[in-house]
Amino acid sequence: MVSPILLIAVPLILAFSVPLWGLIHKKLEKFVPLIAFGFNTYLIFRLLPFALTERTISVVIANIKPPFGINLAVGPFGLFFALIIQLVALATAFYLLSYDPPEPSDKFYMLFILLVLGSTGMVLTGDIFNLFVFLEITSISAYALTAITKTGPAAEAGFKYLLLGSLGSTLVLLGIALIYGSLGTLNMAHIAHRISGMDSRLVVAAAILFIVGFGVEAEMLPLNGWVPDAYQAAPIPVVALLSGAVAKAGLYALARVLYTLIGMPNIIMLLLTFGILTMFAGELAALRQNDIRRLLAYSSIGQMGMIMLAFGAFGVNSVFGGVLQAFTHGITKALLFLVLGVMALHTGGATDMESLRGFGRKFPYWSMLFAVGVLSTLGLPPFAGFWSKLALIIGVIIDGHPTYAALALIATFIEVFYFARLLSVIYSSKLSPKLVERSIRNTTIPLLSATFLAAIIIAVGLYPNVFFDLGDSASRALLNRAHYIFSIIGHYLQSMGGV
Amino acid sequence: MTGQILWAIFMPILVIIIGLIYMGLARKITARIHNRYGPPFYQNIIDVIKLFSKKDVANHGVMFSLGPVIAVAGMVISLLFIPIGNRPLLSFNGDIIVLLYLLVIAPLGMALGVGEGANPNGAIGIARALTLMLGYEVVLVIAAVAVMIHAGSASFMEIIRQQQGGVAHWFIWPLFLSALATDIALQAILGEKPFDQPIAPHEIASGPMVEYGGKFLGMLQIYHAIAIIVETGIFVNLFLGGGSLVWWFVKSFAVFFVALLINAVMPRFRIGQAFKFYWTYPAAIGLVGLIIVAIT
Amino acid sequence: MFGINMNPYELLAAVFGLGAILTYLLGHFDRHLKTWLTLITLALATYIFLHLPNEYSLESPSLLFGIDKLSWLFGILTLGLGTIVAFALLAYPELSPNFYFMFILNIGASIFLLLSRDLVAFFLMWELMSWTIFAMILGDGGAERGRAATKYLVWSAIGAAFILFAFAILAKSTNSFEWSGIVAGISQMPSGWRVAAIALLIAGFAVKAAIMPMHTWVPDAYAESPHPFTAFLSGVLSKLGIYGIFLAFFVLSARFELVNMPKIFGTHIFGYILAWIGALTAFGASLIAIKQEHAKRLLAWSSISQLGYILFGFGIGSAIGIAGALFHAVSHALFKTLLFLILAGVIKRTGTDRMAELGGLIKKMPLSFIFAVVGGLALAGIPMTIGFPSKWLIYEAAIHQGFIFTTVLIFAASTAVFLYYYRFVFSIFLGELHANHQDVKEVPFPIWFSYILISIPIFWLGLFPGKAMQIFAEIAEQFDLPAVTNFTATTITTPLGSFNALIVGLVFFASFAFGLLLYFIGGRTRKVHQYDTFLAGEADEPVKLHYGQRFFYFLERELKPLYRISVEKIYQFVAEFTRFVADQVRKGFFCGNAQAYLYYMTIFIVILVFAIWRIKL
Repeated sequence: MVSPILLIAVPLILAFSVPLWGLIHKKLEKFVPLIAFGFNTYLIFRLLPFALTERTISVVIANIKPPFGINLAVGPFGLFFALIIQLVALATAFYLLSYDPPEPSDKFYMLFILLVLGSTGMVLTGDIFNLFVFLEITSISAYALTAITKTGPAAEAGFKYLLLGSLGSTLVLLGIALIYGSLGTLNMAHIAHRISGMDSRLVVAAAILFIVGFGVEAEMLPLNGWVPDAYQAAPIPVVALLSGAVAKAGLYALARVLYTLIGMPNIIMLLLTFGILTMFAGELAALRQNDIRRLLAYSSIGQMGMIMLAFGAFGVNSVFGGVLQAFTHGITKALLFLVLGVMALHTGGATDMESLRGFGRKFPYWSMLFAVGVLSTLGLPPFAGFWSKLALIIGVIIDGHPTYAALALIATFIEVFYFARLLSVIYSSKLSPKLVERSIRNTTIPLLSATFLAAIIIAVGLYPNVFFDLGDSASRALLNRAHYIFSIIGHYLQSMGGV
Repeated sequence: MTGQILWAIFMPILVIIIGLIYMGLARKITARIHNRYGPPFYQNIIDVIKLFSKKDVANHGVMFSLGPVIAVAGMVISLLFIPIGNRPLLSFNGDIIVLLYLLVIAPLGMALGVGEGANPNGAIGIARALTLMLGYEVVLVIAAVAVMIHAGSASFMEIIRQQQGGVAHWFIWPLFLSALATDIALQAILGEKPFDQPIAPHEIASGPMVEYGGKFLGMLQIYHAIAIIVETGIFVNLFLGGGSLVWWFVKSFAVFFVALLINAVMPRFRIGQAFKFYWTYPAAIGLVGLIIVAIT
Repeated sequence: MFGINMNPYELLAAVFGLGAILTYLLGHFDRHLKTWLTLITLALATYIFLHLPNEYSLESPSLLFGIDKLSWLFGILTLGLGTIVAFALLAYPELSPNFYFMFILNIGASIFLLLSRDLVAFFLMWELMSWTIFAMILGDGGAERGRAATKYLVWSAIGAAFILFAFAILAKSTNSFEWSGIVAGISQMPSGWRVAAIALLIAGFAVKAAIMPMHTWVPDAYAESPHPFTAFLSGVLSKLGIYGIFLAFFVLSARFELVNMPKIFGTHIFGYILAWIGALTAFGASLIAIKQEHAKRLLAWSSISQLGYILFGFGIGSAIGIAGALFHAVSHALFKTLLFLILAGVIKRTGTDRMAELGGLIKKMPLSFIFAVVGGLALAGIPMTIGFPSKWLIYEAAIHQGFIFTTVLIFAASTAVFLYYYRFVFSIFLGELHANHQDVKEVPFPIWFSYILISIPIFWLGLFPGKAMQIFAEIAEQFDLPAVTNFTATTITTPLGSFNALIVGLVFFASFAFGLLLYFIGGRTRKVHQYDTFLAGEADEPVKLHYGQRFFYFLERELKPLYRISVEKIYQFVAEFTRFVADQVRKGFFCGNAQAYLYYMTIFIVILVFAIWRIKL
C-alpha cells in the first residue's frame, strides 16, 4: 500500500520548491500545482480500495505509535473528502495553466498548493492538534489568496475573512486546550475513548468552541459573513477551491469532532437547526442577487447548510446523503466557478447577469457546461446532484426528521427560482452589449478542465454505483465511533488490558 | 322493422309540416294578442316553398352552404332520438345526455356556416346565442339531473314508462320546481322573447340569418320548425308523460303556447341581463328542486 | 452484433440515448436530418416498446422496470403522438438540434417513467422528463420565454418536492422502494401518514396535470413553448401527471382502508374532494378560456379545464368514473394534440396567434379548417368523435353516484367549451380574411398529414368506443378496481342508459343526406365576395369588419365577480413576501460589515451556550 503521508509530504516539498522552478523558467511555475495534485490524485485512487472497506488505517509518523505519537487516521470518511478536494484541486490546477496569476506568481502557486495541502491534512489527520495546524495552514493561505490581487475589495474581503477565520481558529485552539487539560491527550481516538470520563460541562464548552471555530470555514450561518465578499474578490481558481476544498475540510472537521470526539447526539442535532437556517439564509440571499459570483457564493452557503442539515440528522442514511452532497457540491461549484471565470473573460471581468445575457447563443459549449453544473446543483438527473439530493432528502426523512426535510425542500424552491432565472438570462435571445467575442487567449485548457469536472458529474450521474459504495462506507465509518477508536489505538488499549 | 324505417322517413316530414304550422299559429296568436289580424296559419309553409324556388342565391363558400345542411341534419337526428307518441325509434341507442349533445350539432353547424358569411352581425348573433346557451344550459341540466335521479335512469323510454297511468303520475308534480326551471330555460331555447337576443332583428339584422337567403333561409325555417317540436317534445317527455301521437302534439303545442304568450307581451333583455338572469333565479329554483330530489 | 444479447429494456434506453446524441450531433449538418433521425429513433423505440418482456431489474443502482396494461396504454399514447408530432416537426427545420435532443430525451424519460416499478426509477425519470420540458420552453428565446420557463421549473420543483417527500414517507414506513412492496405494506402504515403521503402525491402530480390550484404555470408555458411541442406538452405530458394521480389514488389508496373514511353520497371523502377540485378546475378554467385573446392561451386554459374532467372522473371512483376518466385522458390527448398542431400550422403561416389579427383563413387553409372542426367536435364532445363517449361516461358516473352539484359545474364547463371553441375557430378560420393574409398558403404536407394521422383514432374510437373500453376494463382488472363490462364494440351501457356510437354515426349520415337533398332541391347559388355582405345600410361601400376582439365581452362583464377570484394573487403575495425577506437577508444580514459579523459570532456563542444548556443540564 502507498503511504498516505505522501499526500501531504509531496505537495509540501513541491510548494516550497516553486521559486526554484521559477528560477529555471518563469513558465514552469504553473506546472507545479498540476504535478503536485496529479500525483495526489493518483495516490488517492490507489487508496480508494481502502476507502471502500470500513477500515481506518493509522499511519504512524516517526515510528511512535498512537496515542503518543502523531499519526494520520486514513479512513473511508476522510478519504472521501480527500477525494473531493483532490479532484477539485486537479481541475483547478489544470485550469491554472492558462491563467494569468496575480503577482508575485511564485507565492500564488505556493499558497495555492498549501491551501490544498492544508485541507487534505485536515481530513486525514488523526491528531487534534495537527487538525488545528492544518486548519491554520489552510486558512492563512486562504486569507492571503483572497487578498492577493491587492485591490481594495480583495483586501477588504481578505480582512473580513482573516478576522472571522483567525477568531475561529483561536476558539478551536481553546477547545483543544480544554480537552488536553482534562484528558492529557491529543490523539482523536484516544480523546474519543476517554471523553465520557471528562466533566460534561467542559465537553460542552469544547463542543461550542469547535462548532464556532470550524463553523467559520464550513460557512455556517452567522459565521459566514466573509463568504460573499471573499468569493467575489478572490481569483476564480481560489474561489473554486474555497468551496471545493476549504469549506469541505471545515465541514469534515466539524463532523469528525462532533461525531467522533464529542459523540453527543443532542449536540450533533443542533446542526439540524443551524443547517436549515444556513440553507434559508443562503438561498434567500441569492434570490435577488444579480452578480453571478455572489449568487454562486450564496448558493454555496445554501448547499453547505443542506449538508450540515444532513450531518445533523444523526443517522447513517442522512450522513450518506450528506457526504454524497458534499462531493457533488464540491465538484459542481468548482465547475460553475471555472466556467464563470471564462465567461468573465468575455465581458471584461463583469459577472452580473445583464452583462452575461445571451452568453449561451455565442458560446454554446461553455453554456452547456454551466447548465450541467446548474442542473446538477438543482438535483436533476442524469447528473450527480440528483443522486446526492435524493439520498439526502430521503435519508433525512428515514432518519426521522421529516420536518427538516420539508423545510429543506422549501428552500430548494428558492434555489430553483434563481437558477432557472440565471439559465434563462444566459440562454436569452437578447445579447448583452458587453458580450464581445474578444480575441482573448486560447480557452482550450479551461475548457478541458471544466469538461473534466462536467464529465465527473455526468459519469457519476449515469453510473452512481462506485459513488454510492464510497459514500456508504464513508458514512458508516463516521458513525461507527467504536470502530474508529479500535482501529487507531486498539493495540494500545489491548496492551492496557481493557477495551 | 320496415314499419320503423318507413316511420323514420315519414316522421321528419310530418314534423316539419307540423312545426311550420306551429310557427304559423305562433304568428297568428301573437298578432291576435297585439290586436292585429296576422297571416293565415299555413303562411310559413308557403314561405318555405317560395324560398326554395328562389334562384341565384348569394353564397359565401362551402362551409356557408353546409351550415344550413348540417343544421337540418342535426335536428333530424335529434328528432329520431326522441320518442314521439310512444314510438321509441332510436331512443334505445342513446339517452338524455346523448340527446343533449346531438341537439348541439345543428346550432354548431349553423354557427360555422354563419361564420364564413363574414358578416359581423351574424358573428355577434352567434356570440349572443352562445352566451345565452351558457346561461340556460346550466338550468336545463340542473333540471334534467333531477329527473334522471328521480327516475333512476337517463333513458327517455324508462322516464316515460314511469309516468304512465294518468295525469297524477306526471313528473311535473313531484318535480315541479325542475319543471318550472326547464320551462324558463325553454323560453330561451325556443328563442322567444325576452330571450331572442341572438336574432334581435332591430339590433343586429336577424343575426345569424343575416346573410342567408333563398333556399338557405328555407332550410333554416325547416330547422326551426323541427327545433320547436324537439324542444317542446323534451319537456313533454320529461314532465308531461309523453302520450299517444295526437296527445303528444297537443301537449307539445300547449308548452309552445305558454312560451308564445310570454313572448307576445315581453320586451327583450340585454344579453348580459339574460345570462345573469339564468344563472340566478331559474338556477336557484332548479337547484332547490334538485336538492329536494337528492334528499328524498 | 452486440445488441443481440441486450435486454430489450437496455436496448430501449440505448435507442433513446444514442438517438438523442446522434440527432444532436448530426443535426448541425442538415436541416432535415435531425427530424428524420428523431423519427427513426421513435420508430425503433415503438417497435421495442411493443416487444418488451414483463420485468427487468437493474442491479445497481437498483432500479426496477416492468410493463403492464396501464403503462402500455400511456406508452402507446406517448410514442404514437410523439411520432406524429415529430412528423409535423419536418415542417420546422428552424428548430435547433438542442430542441431535438431534449425532445427525444423527454420522450425516453416519459416512457421509462411509465415503465418504472420502483420509486427511485420513477422519480429519476420524472425529474428528467420535467427539466427537459424546461429546456424546450426556454429554447433560445426571449424574456417572455425565460419567465415562462422559470415559472414552469419552480412549479415543477414544487411538484417534485411533494412527490419526493411522499415517496420518502412511503419508503420509510413500508421499508421498500418497490411499488409492489409499498402496495403490500401500505396497509400497515399509520393512517395519518398514509393520507398525507397520498395527498402529497396527488398534489405533486397535479402540477404536471395542470389541476387548479397548481396550474398557474400552464398558460405561460404553453404560450411560450415551441408551437409544435406545445401539442405534445398538452396532449401527452400532462397525461403523465394523470398517470401519477391514477397510481397514487387507485393503486396506493383505493384498495386500502381509505374506504373506511367518512362517506359523502356513497363516495369516500378523499374521492369527493378530488371530484370537487376536478369540477372546479374544469369550470373555472373554461370560463377563463372564454376571455383569452391569444389562441394558444385559450387552448391552454381549455387543457386545464379538460384535465379537470379527468380528475373529476377519478374522484367519482366508480367503475364508470374510472373508465370515463381514462377514456377522457386518451381523447384529450388526441384532440388537444390535433388542435395545438393546427394552431402551430396557423402560426407558422401567419406568424401570430392573436385572434383579432386572424380570420377568414378557411379560404386559404381549408384542410386546416376541416381538421380544426374535427378537433373541435371532439373537444366539444359531439357524438361520432372520441370526445363524446369519454364525456358521456363521466356524466353518467357522476349522476349515478349522485354528485349533483359537481355535475352541474361539469356541464357548465362543457357548455363553455362551445363558447371558446367557436371563438377559436371563428376568429381564426371564419369571418373576414385579413389583408395581410391574402397570400397565405395551406400548411405544408408534414403538418396536414399529421392532422390526418391523429383524426383516424378520433373517429375510429368515436364510432367503436368498445375497443378502448376493453383496454380500460383490463386495466381495472389488473388493479382490482371495479370495471365496466357491459359494452360491445359500438355500444356502452351504464345503469342509467346506453349509447350506440355506430348507430348515431350512421343515422347522422342519413340525416345529412336528407339535408343535402333539401340543398339540391333548392335553386342555384352565386358565389359572392366576402365584402358583399348585408350591413343594413350602415356602410355604403365594403369595409373590413372582423368581429374578433373581446368576442364575449358582454359575458365577461357579467362574470367579472367570478374572474376576480384568483389563486394567482396569493402566489404573488407569497412571492412578494419572499422577495422582501430575501432582500432583508441579503442587505441586512450579509451587510458586509466586519464588526457586524463579529457581533454575530458573539451572539452565536451565547445562543449556543443557552441552547446546549437547555438540552444538557
